[in-house]
Amino acid sequence: MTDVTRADVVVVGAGLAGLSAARALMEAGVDVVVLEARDRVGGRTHSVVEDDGRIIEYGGQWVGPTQDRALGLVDEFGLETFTQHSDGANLQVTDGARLEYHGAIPTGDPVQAADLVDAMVELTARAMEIDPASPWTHPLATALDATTLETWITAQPYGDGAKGWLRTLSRAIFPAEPGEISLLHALFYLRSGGGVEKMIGTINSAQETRITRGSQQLSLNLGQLLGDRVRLDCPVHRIDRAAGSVTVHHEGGTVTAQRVIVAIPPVLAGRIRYAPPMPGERDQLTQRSFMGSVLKVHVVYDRPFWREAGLSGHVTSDSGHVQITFDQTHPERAEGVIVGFIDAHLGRVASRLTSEQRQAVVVDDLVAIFGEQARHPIAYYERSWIDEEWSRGCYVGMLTPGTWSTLGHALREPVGPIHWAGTETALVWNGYMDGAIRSGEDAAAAVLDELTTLTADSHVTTGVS
Amino acid sequence: MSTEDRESIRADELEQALEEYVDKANASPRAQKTLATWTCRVHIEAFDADDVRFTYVVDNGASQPVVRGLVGVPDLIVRGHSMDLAEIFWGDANPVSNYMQGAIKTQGRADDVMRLDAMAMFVFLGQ
Repeated sequence: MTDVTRADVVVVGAGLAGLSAARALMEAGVDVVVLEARDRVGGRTHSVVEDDGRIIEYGGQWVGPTQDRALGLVDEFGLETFTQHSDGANLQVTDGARLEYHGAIPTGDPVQAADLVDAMVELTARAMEIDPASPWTHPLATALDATTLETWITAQPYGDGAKGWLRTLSRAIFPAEPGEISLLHALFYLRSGGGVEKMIGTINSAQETRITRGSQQLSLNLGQLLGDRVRLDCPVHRIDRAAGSVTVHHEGGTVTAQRVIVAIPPVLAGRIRYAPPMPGERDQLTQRSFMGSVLKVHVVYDRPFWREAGLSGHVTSDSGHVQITFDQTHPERAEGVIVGFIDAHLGRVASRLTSEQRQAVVVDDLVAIFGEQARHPIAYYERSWIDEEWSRGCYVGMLTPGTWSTLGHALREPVGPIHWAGTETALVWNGYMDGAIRSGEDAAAAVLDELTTLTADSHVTTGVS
Repeated sequence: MSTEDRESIRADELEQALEEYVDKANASPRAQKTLATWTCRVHIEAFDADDVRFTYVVDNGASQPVVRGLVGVPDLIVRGHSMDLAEIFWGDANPVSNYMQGAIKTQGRADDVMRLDAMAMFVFLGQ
């Protein structure tokens, strides 16, 4: 039977953005319904507890300093946290050679390290010139948007080692090949996160803290607050808009409301049918948006043996499939876990393999990094985010070169009663859980403003004081 | 050993470390090239000793002589244990190591923080 619902506002997507928007609206006394395509809340966070208590973080997992909204929810919900393990030496693997270092920047080769410091100064300084609300207003926006990050890296007077590490960094941060994004996009993203240093390290950086029972606890707690306002297994396929109202069609029925907040990545928002159709510029924007490519793996060992060798478990490598790893060992368990990221084009290549084939190449990579002790894991888990129907990639959606400077304004601008949220629309910590929360709260605030204005106008019209 | 248990560096020792640091920074070709246009007023405060307060000014990439006390309105504030501060200014410690990232607190614009770290990195790397 088709369900027909009326509400003040309908939110599409029960990730952190959608749930945060709905929560803000609910607390303002607005009747809100959230439609989620999946059978769970959390979007690109997904924490699975295995039968034996092992927690697998398939999606976003870290919070760090200045991520005040995410940390605020952690506090509000009383969630336990622990500090990302970072004791010991990090490893930089270049052409098979291993160099140990401590901190965010590889220092094993002083000349290369100086190059990287140069690059980080340059990128951070330029990033701070970008207004995250309107990157297209930068005086050099057109040129910066016509230059790929790869073009910029290639043009720098750095050694091959530094350039290679910057490419690995691009895959890890965005996560995209440096040839897939413009310098303007890279600078915008770095600006939203507070600079390169804040984004790539562990201590006092974006990878500092984990939530003990998993990051999805944020969404699960928000979902609990919202109760039956959240409807799962309701993929939205069409949004009709008329003067002052929208009707959102999902697989189970319709919800008619005054406003809708579409809190899913722009590329997925572009796959919804709109009637009347989206303005040309908005559709052109979503045509030029793409999701990052990530395949995330957990490799479990009987103990964190790398720590015995004085290693932190954090690796950046220029070879193999897994080019970024961290120590994912849970403080409550004796077993050791390495989390690895197969990013950007490597993620797409790896998605062609079977799970068994991927496990084999992942283990080979870890053996090359950590030695034969890595040969025999006791468990292996993976998530290919590009194969996830309701994300189609991770961690974040990006815009192709040339898009910010020509169509960027259409990213956040509402279209009539349709508002946009999602971490892609965040001004601060874009691409992160914190950005998702902020974007949802911002969209809710904008909708509340409009509803308040409507109510005031209605009172004037009807003479009600 | 807790931070509070550690030996503190006297103000004159840290001042000497800072003076050596200024010399090294001004002699660093990478720092001079990368930070050529950087101007910044930095307040340096040790939280374990009240009298360990310095003002350090970089003017278009050139480090100026260090002044005792906190002078003027800072662009950056750097706080840490006097020993950690000295380790960095002596060029003995990696300023972006995990330990130092946790031990030294900075307050200011991200690009100023990055440039200050860069200067200390160039000194540490001997570049």
